[in-house]
Amino acid sequence: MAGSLAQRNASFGDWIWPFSRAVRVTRTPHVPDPSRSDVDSSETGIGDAELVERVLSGDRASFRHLLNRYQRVLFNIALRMVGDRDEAEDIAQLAFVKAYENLRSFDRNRRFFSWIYRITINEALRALDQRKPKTQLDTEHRAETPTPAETLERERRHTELLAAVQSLAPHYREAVVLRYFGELNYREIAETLDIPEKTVKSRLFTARRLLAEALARKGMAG
Amino acid sequence: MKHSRIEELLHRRFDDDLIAGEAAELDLRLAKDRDAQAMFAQLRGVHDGLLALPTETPSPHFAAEVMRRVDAISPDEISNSSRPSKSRWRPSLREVLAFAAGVGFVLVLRVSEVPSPEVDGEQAAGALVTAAARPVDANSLMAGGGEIQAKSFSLEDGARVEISGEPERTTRLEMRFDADSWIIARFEGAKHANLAMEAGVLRFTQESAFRCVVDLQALNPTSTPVPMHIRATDQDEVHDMRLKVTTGARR
Repeated sequence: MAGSLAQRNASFGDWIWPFSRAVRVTRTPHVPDPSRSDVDSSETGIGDAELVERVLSGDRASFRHLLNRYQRVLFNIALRMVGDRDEAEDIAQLAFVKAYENLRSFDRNRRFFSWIYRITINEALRALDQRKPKTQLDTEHRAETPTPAETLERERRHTELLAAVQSLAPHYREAVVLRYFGELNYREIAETLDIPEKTVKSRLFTARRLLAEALARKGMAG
Repeated sequence: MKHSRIEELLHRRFDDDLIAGEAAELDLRLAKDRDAQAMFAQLRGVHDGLLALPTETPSPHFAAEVMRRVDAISPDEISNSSRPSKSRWRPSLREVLAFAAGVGFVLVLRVSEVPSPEVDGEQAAGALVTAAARPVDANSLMAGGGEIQAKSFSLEDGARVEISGEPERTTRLEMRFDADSWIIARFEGAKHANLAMEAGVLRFTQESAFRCVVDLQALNPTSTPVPMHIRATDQDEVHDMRLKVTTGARR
């Protein structure tokens, strides 16, 4: 029956199908690994999964523990994705709020950090998508007071490297950011981005090569 | 971008991913290959530079601001309520044009290098759905190698699927769906299409930048998520390939 209906309906002709609303969907990684999601926090001694359960039971203070645990890394992931402090702070805050709002939907067989990293990356990508091309970097790394030549050179290298990271296509940039600022390994990046490890490697390797080429053009090779 | 064996080993050394035999192989090649040495030095500069970048601290009021916003959310709002709402869709040829306001979600998938990711649409539908006026560059939904597996969409009503991309050369794409659950009601935009609908398979071929639209009609409206897979059947890269799935409600 399906076939005949299909044949018939295939000749519908053009439809008009406006949508009252379009919403963006974010997915979460799905490789469970209790070794990380239940890692003890020096602050609480409680794993992420337990904290999530507590929040869902109405213990809002437990969310504060998750916030304390991840605020710095999420902020840095966002910062290295978008290159702007204020924007990064907005993104990271929004990621926490969205995580809270959608916590009941969080698959607790998965790892919380991957889930919230993913939210952060998504928000960063959306921010990048919505703004006009922008290449200037946050200048926080520039020396504001006279410094020794070595420091200046280091600052210059940081600035050039950050500029090169910013110039990467988003799918390369997120691999670099998760590797170096999220401190994730291949498997964890794959889980967070929900892509195969092989893809993670390909993107990360390509990104490094592109960065090397960019630095070489600036006379900063090796 | 292709990576030579030596380059792969170099990268994996930086990522602590080499096994003993590979490490020995790399050392051997580095000992006698000047090009490899140069590449190693160049990549190490990047690796070390990235490691040396300072981590930043969010502003002191960061956490307080998050908690302020969280506190403004009532416990009842902590839910998966962002799942698209259900409604009835009774497609009857052109009467279908008389639609009701749709409630849906959009997936945008960009496809690049390697195959076989999955999009867990059920989770997607239930979890982090945020209002957006337009599709976004959702690398989150990136798939690889020209394959997108979009499973478990809550397609109780039907869906419009838009697939676009820029294959480097002729690329065959295939869309599979559960023929017992829905049918293709409309397909347009591809030069060479084989609507093998009985088998729940749609195949089409593209040579350059394309955008095609597939409207799926639910045969048995249900809230049970139904799988859908879309992929390039060959392994050519398809640059900037996007899939936009919109579930819509019709009345």
